[in-house]
Order: sequence, then C-alpha cells, then structure tokens
Amino acid sequence: MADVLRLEGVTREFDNGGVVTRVLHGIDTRVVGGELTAIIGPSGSGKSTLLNIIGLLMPPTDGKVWIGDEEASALDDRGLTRLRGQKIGFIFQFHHLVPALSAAENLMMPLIIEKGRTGEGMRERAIEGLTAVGLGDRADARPSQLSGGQQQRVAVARALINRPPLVLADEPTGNLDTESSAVVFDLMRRYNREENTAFLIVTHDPRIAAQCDRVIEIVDGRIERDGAPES
Amino acid sequence: MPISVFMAVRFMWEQRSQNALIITGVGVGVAVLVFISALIGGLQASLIERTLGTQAHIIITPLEQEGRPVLKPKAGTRYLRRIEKPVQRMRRIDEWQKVDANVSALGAVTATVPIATGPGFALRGNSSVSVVAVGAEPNRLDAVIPIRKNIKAGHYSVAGTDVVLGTELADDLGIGVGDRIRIRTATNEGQVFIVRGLVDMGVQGLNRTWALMSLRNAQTLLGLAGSVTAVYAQVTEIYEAETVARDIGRVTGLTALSWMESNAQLLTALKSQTASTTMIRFFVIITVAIGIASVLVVSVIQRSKEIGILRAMGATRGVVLNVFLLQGAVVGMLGSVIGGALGAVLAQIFQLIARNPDGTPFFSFVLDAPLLLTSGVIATAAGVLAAVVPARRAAALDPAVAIRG
Repeated sequence: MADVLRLEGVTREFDNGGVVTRVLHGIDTRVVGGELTAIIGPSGSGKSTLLNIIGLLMPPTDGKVWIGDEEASALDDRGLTRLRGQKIGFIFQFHHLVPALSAAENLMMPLIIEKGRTGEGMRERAIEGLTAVGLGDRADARPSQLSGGQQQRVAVARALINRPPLVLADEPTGNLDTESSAVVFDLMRRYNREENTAFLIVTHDPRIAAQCDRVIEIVDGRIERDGAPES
Repeated sequence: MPISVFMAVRFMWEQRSQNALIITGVGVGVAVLVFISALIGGLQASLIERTLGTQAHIIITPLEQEGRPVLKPKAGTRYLRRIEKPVQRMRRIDEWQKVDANVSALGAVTATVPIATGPGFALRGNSSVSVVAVGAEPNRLDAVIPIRKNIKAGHYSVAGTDVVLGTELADDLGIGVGDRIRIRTATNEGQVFIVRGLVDMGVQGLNRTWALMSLRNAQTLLGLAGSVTAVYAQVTEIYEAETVARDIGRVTGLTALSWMESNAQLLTALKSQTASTTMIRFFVIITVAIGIASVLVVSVIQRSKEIGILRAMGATRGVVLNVFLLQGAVVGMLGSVIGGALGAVLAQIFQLIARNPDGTPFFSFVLDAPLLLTSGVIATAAGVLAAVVPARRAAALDPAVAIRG
C-alpha cells in the first residue's frame, strides 16, 4: 500500500530567548493508506508538535516530510496551503467550528476553499456528510446550538468532506463524555474502513489507543514504541 | 460567490450590532463631510455669482497714458528728474471692432460686448444727480451682465431715446417708467430720454448711478465719436479668467483686467475657506478610518482561532487578507450611502430654516452627484485603507499558534 505520510529525521527545536529546547529528536516513520494509528505519550512529549509538523502548520528544524509523494520542505507557503487543503483533514479537541457559519456551511468550507468560491451541489454534499454522522436534521444549526458531541461529529464530517487521504486528530475525544467519545471514534473507524482514509489520532485515552491498528508512543521527543496496541 | 465575499458577509452578519454601530459612525462622518462640502460649495458659488452678477469676467481697456521725458538722456550723465503723470482724459478704444473680433476668436471666450461708459448728470426739474452712462447693444450686454432678469419695473429697452435706470437712481429723481429725463455730460448739453425700465442689480452703487442706453447715445453724450471705452468679455471657466486676460493683453496690446485681479481679497477669502474645509474633511476621514480600523483590529483578535482553522483547511493568506479588506470596504460603502442621504437631508433642513426675510434661502447648497460620489469613494477608500493593518495582521497569523490560542 502507498505511503500517505513519510517522516525522515524530523527534528524540531524551539528558541526561547536564547535557550534552545529540542522537542523532537529525528523522528522517522511512515503511514500507509487505510491505517488507523494512535500517537500516545505523556504531556510535553512532543505529540502535538509532531502533529503540527505533519499537518504542515509548522516546519521542522531539520528532516523531511512527505505527504503522498510531495516533499513539503520544497514548497512555499502557497504550496503548503494547497497541499494541506487537498491531502489533510483536521479534527481538533475543541472542534473549532466557525461560529459564524451553520453546521452545513462549516462542512462546505473545505469545498469552498478548494474551489475558491461557493458552488452548486456543495450544500447537498454537506448535508450528506451531516447525515452520515447522524446530524442531517441539524444542517442549519449554529455550532452554539449543538452539544459538544454533536459539534465534534460535525468536525469529523468537515475533516472528511473532501475525502483527504490523511486525517490528523488532536485529542478528538478529549473533551467528550464516554458515550460521545465512543460515537466519535466509531465514526472515524467507519470512515477509515469505508474510505480507506488514514487517521493519526493523538490521544491520552488508552481505550481509544487499544482500538487502533497501530500505536506510536512518544517519550521525550523520541519514538519509544511503534507497533500493534497492547492487548 | 468568491470565498472572501462569503466569509466577509458571514463575519459581518455575526457581528451585526457592532457593525451597525460603526456603519452609523461612518455615516455620521460622511454626513458631516457632505453637509460641510455642500454648504461651503453653495456659499462660495453664491459669493461668486453675486460678485460676477454685476461685472464682466474680463474688462479690456486702453493702456494708461504715461508721461514721457522731454530730454533725451545722454550716456554717462546723471539727471535729477520728475515725470508728472498726465491728467487722464477719457481713454478710448478706437479700433474696437478689431479688438472685439480678436477677443471673440479666443476659444475660452463665450461672449463680448463693447461698452461706452462715463460720468454724467441726470436732470429732472431742479434736481441734478450724478449718473454713469452705460451704452451697449442690449442683447450682448445681457450675455455678459444679466440685466433682463434684474428688471424690476418696465422692460429692458434702449432703442432710440429709451433708457433703463437703476432703481435707487429713479427713487432719488422721483421718477418711474414712462417719465422723461435729461442726461448730460461735461462735454454735451444732453439729451432727453424716456425711462423704459428700472433695474435692481443688487448693488447700491450701481442701482444709484446706472443709466443704461444705446451704444450710439452713450458715444454721443461722452464725445467718443464712434469709439468705446472698454470691451467686456465672459469666459467658459471663471477660474481661468486671469490666464485668458493675459492672452487678451498679448493679442490686443491693451490692458485686460480679470475679475480675479479686481477681487483679489474675495479670492483670498475663498481660498482660505477652501483650505479650512479641506482640513475639516481630512480630520473627518481620519476619524472614520480610525473607527473602522479599531473595530477590525478587535475582530481579528476575536477571530484568530477561526482564521487559524481556515488557514489549516487550505485558505491562503490572500483569502484571509481579502476577507478583512472587504469588511472595511463594505463598512465604508454602507456608511457613505447612509451618510450621503443624511447629509442631503441636513442640507434640506438647513435651507428650510436659514432664510432671508422675503422667504428665499440664503443660498443654494451645491449638493450634486459628483459630491455624493466623491464622498462615497473617499469613505470606501478610507475603509479599505483602515482595514489594511488588521487584514495584514490576520493574514500573517501562524495557524498553529492561532488554533492553540
């Protein structure tokens, strides 16, 4: 199966007023299409920084990142923005829906961004996406009118609306109760199987990690363990 | 709909109360801009109209007579000398037909009229009042100085022995339309005229002295024998009068005095007024721009997470920049529409309140489409310019930092 992500010697340092802190130490890994991978590790281990680098939101200090067959360091800001829009979906802990837009419009945003303008059929596709996450009847609701679980389901549907090969989820269930967490994870698992979408899920929840195909444990900016979840 | 427009509309609608307030603020600013401009424009137009309503744009007269030294100075010799200015006889333009033709041929000149004018006396019974005899072909004079519209009694006729007098001159003589009057000068025993009309030029000095007659009668009374004393000219662009006057002086070799030279103080006052209006407009625009900028800066701070999400989803910096520039433009545009309407209403109210004792307005406001359009363009441009800093700030946000908050 083709790689959707490849990292080679990814290092990241932060300069805090002359004090240089290395957060990631030469990370090497690859993710293939259809893989459901959990990234676990203690707080401050570098998980979110790694996710930001993979999401092309932050450049590595050293090393290379491939999204599909495109090498990110060769791209300028416009190229990175395009690659991000086409190949990567994002799910955040606090859903980060745009409050000014309805649920359907939030789903339409990746499509509008891709085309550069609103277009025919976008709303229908958004409603299909909402129906798939069980919120077809809440298309015109504002994020503030939805529960936390519903907001996160909308965020999952938004991340998947233009069928990216890779979805990055940063603590997607971290802010949800057990029942909503299970619903959101089941959604991701379903898309993973049906659409062959690769998911990289940063989580502190061992139950979520246990249900993934693969677990990468990061400790102090290094991969400590990479393999099947411990049973 | 382009993505920038879509997002700008949604963002503005979400903060509609805040935007309504700032649009109202811009509207008030534009209303002040429109009102002040219309007021000053009207005032200036009225002043110029009143000034030029009784005088020609350019008056062409013969060169002043100068004294000349009797002795020819020898080289290397120094003289003490005093050249006395000669007594000015009535100066005349003999070849006025040629002057008139040359001046009329200039593209900037719209009308000309040869005039024979000079001092005289109006006699009625035992009373004698000094007058200024003004002789000209009536239609041509009317094209340069509006006479017909200022006729208060009778009509404008100077044919044969007909004469039109200033209203106050008629009062001084105790005569009216149809009465007879003798007008004489220092060199002529005079002639009897029949008063056919009374004219009110709005200037006491003219109303008390003017006796309008035919060119031929004035020439005879003033002893000009076919000559005239001046040629009056009107130009298309009044503020070009000085340049045209210089051209006329060059072409004719005569003295050409523009209204701008003869009303230098008025012109200075108008320029000062324009400068103060410009200052007011400048500060209103600055205030409007600061208002828009402050609202957008707050908006960018409030929306930094959303901007980060949009950027993460693939929105370019250009899209983010345009979203905020458009908001600035829309605020400026809507504000200018409201302000234009408000300014027009204020101008109407002012004209209803501020009136002369006879019920006519002091002056007409210059409230035209170019003024409204210019104010709208200025306010919209100010909105866009005010949005540049917050928009650039939004576009420069690091999405990773913005999402983390």
